[in-house]
Amino acid sequence: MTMKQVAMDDQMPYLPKEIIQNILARLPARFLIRFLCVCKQWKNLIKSPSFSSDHLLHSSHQNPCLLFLMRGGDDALNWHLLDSEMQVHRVQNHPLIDYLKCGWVVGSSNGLLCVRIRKDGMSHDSLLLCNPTIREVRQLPRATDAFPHQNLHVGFGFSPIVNDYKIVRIYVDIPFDDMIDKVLVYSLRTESWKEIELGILVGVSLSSHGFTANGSIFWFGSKLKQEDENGNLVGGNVIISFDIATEVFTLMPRPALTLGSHLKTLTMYEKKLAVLCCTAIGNSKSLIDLWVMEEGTAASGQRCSWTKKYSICPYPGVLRPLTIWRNEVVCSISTRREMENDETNTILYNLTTKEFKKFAVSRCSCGYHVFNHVESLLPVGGMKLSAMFV
Amino acid sequence: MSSPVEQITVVSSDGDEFKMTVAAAMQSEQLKQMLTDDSISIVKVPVENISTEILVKVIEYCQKHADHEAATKANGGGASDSEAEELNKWDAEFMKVDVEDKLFHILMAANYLEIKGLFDLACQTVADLIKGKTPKQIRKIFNLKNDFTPEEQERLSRQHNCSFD
Repeated sequence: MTMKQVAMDDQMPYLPKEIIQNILARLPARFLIRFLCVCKQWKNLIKSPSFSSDHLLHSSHQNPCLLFLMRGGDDALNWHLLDSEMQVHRVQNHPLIDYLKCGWVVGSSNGLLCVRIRKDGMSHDSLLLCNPTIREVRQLPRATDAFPHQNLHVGFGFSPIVNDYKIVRIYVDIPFDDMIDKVLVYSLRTESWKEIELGILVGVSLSSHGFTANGSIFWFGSKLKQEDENGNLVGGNVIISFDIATEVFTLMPRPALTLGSHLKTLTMYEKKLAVLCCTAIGNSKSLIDLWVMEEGTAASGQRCSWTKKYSICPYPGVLRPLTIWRNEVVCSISTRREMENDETNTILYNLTTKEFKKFAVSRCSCGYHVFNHVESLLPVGGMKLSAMFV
Repeated sequence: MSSPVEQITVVSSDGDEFKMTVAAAMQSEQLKQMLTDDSISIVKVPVENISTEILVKVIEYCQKHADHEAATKANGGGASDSEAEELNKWDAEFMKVDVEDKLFHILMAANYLEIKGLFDLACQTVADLIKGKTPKQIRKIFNLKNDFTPEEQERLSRQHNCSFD
């Protein structure tokens, strides 16, 4: 050892805040919650708005998750998170949500969930915004209740263009095939509800849950067939799209499916709107097709067109495609199959390797819902709920 | 009428001199700026806050990545999947250091010399290192003090269901 090396400073170098931020932004939110307790500097850093945004960006790319919503034996909510390392984590909900037991998720954006609560005997439903990662809940102000002859569809999403989260309530008349009667939109920024004119939605019926992607919310629907000015019959099956930024509804054509093929769900593939369809082959096999919407070219004169991107080879079982996550098609498996006694309740199909993978996310013999979700530190903002829900 | 520079000399904080090829030096934005500035004629570059031990590692990284870039160019531009994977494996082995503070020194050196690849690699390595650690272990690694009052600790624990140990 030379004199120089003995004199060398062996101490840990002091890391500047920017570098600590760079390191922490790479971690899943779950670990960052734990690190709030390290010291004040780290707590202030992790809770700062600039860090939350930076972290969300990393999280969306490196760790997109799946949220599985299941019900336990006593009707309790069993929410599980599947992360990109294929680890399943039980979601520790805000005590209020666990207490309510009757919440179901409308949608997930930037790590925030919009939860709809309707307790038996209550005359109205309520909406909550929650971030299960930081265990914050916020109740949204009441909107008009649906009439007894109406159903209510709720959509939730974020638009970076207006930097706002919005919630859409679509009231449909049951006796008229779920035809749209009224639309209310809530903006988190203005904290108020307002009614939107139906316009193009006149004569349109809704037939699915909402799906949010790319700053818009989408539903399956159908427009009442009518004669246009040339005497042609127009209308039929459509996809309804709500632009969160402009609050404008548009109608888009659905893919032209072959006979026997049924639309199952809207999803996203490579940042484009996509649709998963299913063709049952007898009682024991299913064929799944993936259609992707491409932007129309000026030459074709169409705004958009559908292309069948994949036909997934038949699986020995009846699968229900739910969503696309990373490069996999996530399907639930019909509970009526008796072939296997294991707890497999989920099948993943990899679109690159074309392989099926069996998976079990917690014990669940009934159907469940799945949402693409990202764990974030974003606060739900506004007044937080501390009192019991009334 | 000077001949094109083929090598530069960097001097560690301990006074030891090391030769670097220009290609390797270009991995550092700092050194690249100096090399491409015609008004500066470089003889020796002192890097005051980087010790010999760390500088040797940094130069090794730069040389390896410079060689990889040259090989990729020679093959017509695109690195094959296996070549990229091989480099990733090399990077992973490279980052296996025996003591944690060596890792931090490499990180700081990469930051100072503006070597983006090494900086990102070091940050990710530290992130992977601290992932599963408890707050107590984190404080030890980063030399931090628990400066919360007992009331603040209680409130945080309750709100986020986390422990301070």
